[in-house]
Amino acid sequence: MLPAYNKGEKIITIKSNKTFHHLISLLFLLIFGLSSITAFSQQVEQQQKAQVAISYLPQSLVAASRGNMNVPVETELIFRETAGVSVRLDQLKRSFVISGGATIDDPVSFINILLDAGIETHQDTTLVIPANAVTLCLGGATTCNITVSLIYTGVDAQGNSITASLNVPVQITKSAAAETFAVGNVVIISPTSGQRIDVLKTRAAAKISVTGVGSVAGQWLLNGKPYKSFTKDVFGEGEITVERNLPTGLSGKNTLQLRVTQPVVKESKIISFNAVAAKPAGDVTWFRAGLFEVTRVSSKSDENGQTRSGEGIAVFIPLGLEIPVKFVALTIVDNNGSAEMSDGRIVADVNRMLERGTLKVLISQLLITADGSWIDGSVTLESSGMTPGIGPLFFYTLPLNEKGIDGEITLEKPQTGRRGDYEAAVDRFEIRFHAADAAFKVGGMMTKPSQPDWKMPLIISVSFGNEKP
Amino acid sequence: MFKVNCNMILKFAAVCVCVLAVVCLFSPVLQSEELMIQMEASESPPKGVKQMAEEMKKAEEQKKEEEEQAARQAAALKKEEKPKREKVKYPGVFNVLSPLAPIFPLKSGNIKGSFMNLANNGGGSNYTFRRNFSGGFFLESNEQDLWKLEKVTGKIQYNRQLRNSLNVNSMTEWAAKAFGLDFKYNRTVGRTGSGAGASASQNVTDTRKFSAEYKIEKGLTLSYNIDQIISRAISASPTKTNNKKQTWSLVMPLTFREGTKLTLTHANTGNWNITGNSVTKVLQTDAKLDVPLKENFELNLAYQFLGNRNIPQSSAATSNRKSTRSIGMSYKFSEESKLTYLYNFSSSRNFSTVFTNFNTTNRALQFERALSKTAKMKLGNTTTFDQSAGKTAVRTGSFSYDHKDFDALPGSTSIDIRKQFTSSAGNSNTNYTMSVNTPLSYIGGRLTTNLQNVLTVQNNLASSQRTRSVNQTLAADYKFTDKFSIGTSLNRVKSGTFTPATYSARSVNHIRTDKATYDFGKRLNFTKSMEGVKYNFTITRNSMRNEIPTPSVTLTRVRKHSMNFSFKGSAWKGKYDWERSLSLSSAGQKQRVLQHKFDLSFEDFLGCQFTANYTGAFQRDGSQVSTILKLTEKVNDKKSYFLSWETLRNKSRAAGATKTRNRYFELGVEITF
Repeated sequence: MLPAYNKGEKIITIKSNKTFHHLISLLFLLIFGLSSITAFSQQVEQQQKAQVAISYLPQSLVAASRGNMNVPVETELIFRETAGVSVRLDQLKRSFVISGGATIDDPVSFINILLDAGIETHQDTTLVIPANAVTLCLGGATTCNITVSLIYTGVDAQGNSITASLNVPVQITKSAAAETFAVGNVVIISPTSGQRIDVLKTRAAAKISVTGVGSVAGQWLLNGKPYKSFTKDVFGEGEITVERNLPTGLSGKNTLQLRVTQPVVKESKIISFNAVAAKPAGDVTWFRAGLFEVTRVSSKSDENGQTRSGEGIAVFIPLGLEIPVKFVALTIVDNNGSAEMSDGRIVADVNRMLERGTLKVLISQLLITADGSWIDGSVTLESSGMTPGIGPLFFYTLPLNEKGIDGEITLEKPQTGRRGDYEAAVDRFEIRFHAADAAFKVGGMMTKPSQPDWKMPLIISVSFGNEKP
Repeated sequence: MFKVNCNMILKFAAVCVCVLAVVCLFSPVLQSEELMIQMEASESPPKGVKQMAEEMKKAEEQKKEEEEQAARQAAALKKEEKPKREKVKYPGVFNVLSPLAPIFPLKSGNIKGSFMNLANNGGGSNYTFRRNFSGGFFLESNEQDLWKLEKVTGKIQYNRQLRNSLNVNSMTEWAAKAFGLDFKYNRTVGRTGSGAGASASQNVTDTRKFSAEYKIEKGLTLSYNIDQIISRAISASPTKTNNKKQTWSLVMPLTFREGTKLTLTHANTGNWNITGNSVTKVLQTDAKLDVPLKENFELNLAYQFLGNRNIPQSSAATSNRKSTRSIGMSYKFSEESKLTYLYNFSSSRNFSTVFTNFNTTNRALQFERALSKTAKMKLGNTTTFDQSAGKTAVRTGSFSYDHKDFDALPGSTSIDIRKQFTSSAGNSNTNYTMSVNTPLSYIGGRLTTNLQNVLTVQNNLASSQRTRSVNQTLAADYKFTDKFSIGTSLNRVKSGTFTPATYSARSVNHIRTDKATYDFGKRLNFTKSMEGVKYNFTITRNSMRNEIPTPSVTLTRVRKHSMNFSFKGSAWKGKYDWERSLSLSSAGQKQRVLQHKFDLSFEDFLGCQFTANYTGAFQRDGSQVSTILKLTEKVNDKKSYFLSWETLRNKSRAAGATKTRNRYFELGVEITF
């Protein structure tokens, strides 16, 4: 076989095996031959030993406590090797000296920091002060001081053991507002590098570590180009998460990066991922639309060739709903052989009454999307031998779930009603309506206009089925 | 079609009634079937699903429009033939800067500007007022060609924030391609100022980087870099460091058809410490040949030359030359067993006032093996013989054992051992570290424990002195229910410095933390908008016993109760955290701190978003209070106005302490484009 090597993308073939062997022989000679030339000397003098000095920025560090949690402190460590010998630091011992004398030691941790000969190495670091050190420090004070003692050990290029230490005083405070506003690491957590994703199901998400109070602004870069921007106010959370939907039409290999532009420019690592584009499902008689199934579908493709318009019967099995619907410009895609609505929305007039005992739920309007379904309507409890009746109480944009209806409705303005001399004002109610059971709970106030001082809380709670509300 | 199942209803027909007032009120008429409170419909129909659908549609249309615009821009950029320069208009108020477009064709950016007024009370009765511009901008340009420069891009950022101190940072980055080279220049300047008058101080870090790189894809890379870092502290005793580094480097990988790979790299670095006026020059050449002999047997050969020249200001220059030849082999017995051997020989020559020449050999052996399906082992031994520094040997071992199927200890254990032995000119030192870590999980994850034991021993054999520390941690958490859990953590650190005959120092530190957490959920809801309550209790006991040389005991105990309340209304949400802690010291001192923390945010408050944050921590001899109120009017996705007011107050009754109070007022606008 003829050996060859790559240069760029071209493969250049070396014409004979002989050349290759010569090359290898020369290299061996180069590597090992030099050792024979070297003269050994018995005269030994203490050779140069690496010297490492460490400093940190900013010089005044303030961090806020966040309950029983570890406290992160963003700082920049500056290592400077001054003797011209490279060093590999491999162990770190951390101690936290609390004002008052107590010291909490962390176990030794193994690290790998390579310091080049004679130069400065900057390292953005998050010093994490453990929760129990903060508790002991702040137990009886609004502010206190902790000195973080860092002892690095390693071996230099000459084989000498090297130790370098640094004491970093940190003021711990109860108030995030007193903390230095700083942005630390920016890390994309979704999608992960090399991941194959369905853009309909995966959102881009990143974590930004922040200390203090202020505003963080930045932008998502999709394939190197600005995609969406964000601004988030921070009130001492320590870490914030930013999320964004990816474009639905995205396919193939893509890159994603998050760039923070305010208060400083910080960029995350670039993440490469593969987006799987959904294929149009074509002419189907059935498709899934979020929680609903749409059956007996009759539709035709729109002019753009991407979306479909038509009609069908939307079925929601838990509540036994079958609602005729008309739809326009829906994106229906093929998801592993099953047709699925990925984009668009269906709005329908329903006017369907659901009954369970004396409880009646009227669904007047319905909105179906791929991400969820919502209803408008009202609920009425008929009076019975055991309970007084009340209603109708109106609700709007109540989300449906897999089991049926579960909602806590808090009214901006109380809904009022009258019975004889008594007036009822309802400001909240809860409704559960599942296939097997139902429950209804009303909260409000009863008043008597003829007696202005008369007030009585109104609570009605009724359930039908095994579960209690 | 939904059908009411009568049997089901009868079966369930169960009626749980809780009629508090109404039962009392209507009891005489409860038997009546006609008792019905007829409610009126809402006066102004709120947002229903139709309106929600409309809003969704509008948002989608806007998004689509933005995507199309981005696609148009991208398509224009992709055109290989030089496009006719279109008249670019900057958006909104930035239109006045549009004449700059030919030099800086804007790709994206944001700008935030605000007027900030700081009232600072440094302890006296008078306030010092400072007005300052706050905010900043970020601008990024599209690629463009300028004269001989291709694909010129620029990024400019500037930001200043005034809080407890004035922070200013800026960044400039330019990148271009010319004559087949990639050029990049980046400069970041960070400036922090604090205090006023005689106590004013500033820290400045100025980093400049320039690189020129020539690269063939998957082939040769030739680059030139200049990095300069200037750090300054401007105060009563100013300091400055200035460091400039230049590097030439070459990387040339050559790959042969059988998988044999030769990589040649060369770097020439000159590092000038301008402050100390010393120079370090480093010359490094590497040649590395990787030869896969068989599928499971790989041979690596390497040669490195390292030349190092130090030219300090005050003493004679020193120069080192070091050449290293290495041979490495790795043999893979199976997927989980591998043996690696590395041997290298270095020859160093030191040119100083006295010429010295010495050699170093280094052997490293590493063996990885899966002992069974559950046990894995990794052993390593590195030995260095140095004619000058003596012998250094580092032995490492790591074991991991997965015993999750063992009922008594369901979890895993990892053991790391590291022993370093150094022997030089009659002095011998050892450094030994062993850590054992065992996380366990019982009762389906309800009981979790973690055992950690770290032993560190350092022996100075020449002086027969050794220091030893044992750091043991046991943590256990038990989850009674989803809502209630307890936990404890014990940490014991025993340290000592001794010789075989006597101890010169010995101390023991115990820290114990017990905690209990209860999530009340909705049980304590006393208002309609209350979402849940959580309770936490921790007690931490820290005892430090110094035995030698001076016996003493210090004890600190801290008890902390905290409750977290969360609220949610139709268009607002809030949190209230309450915390009370008591600290008891061995000297008999007691201190109590009470803390309140409110966070409140309204989605719609007079058409604006409104956030309020308050933290107040109070103790007998002082307090710390901060309040932040912010009102934001979001005009659209790209523009918002904001108004914020903030106070930060520190009060201390301690002797000599003063009250300080800062007030901030900020009014600004933020625009993205």
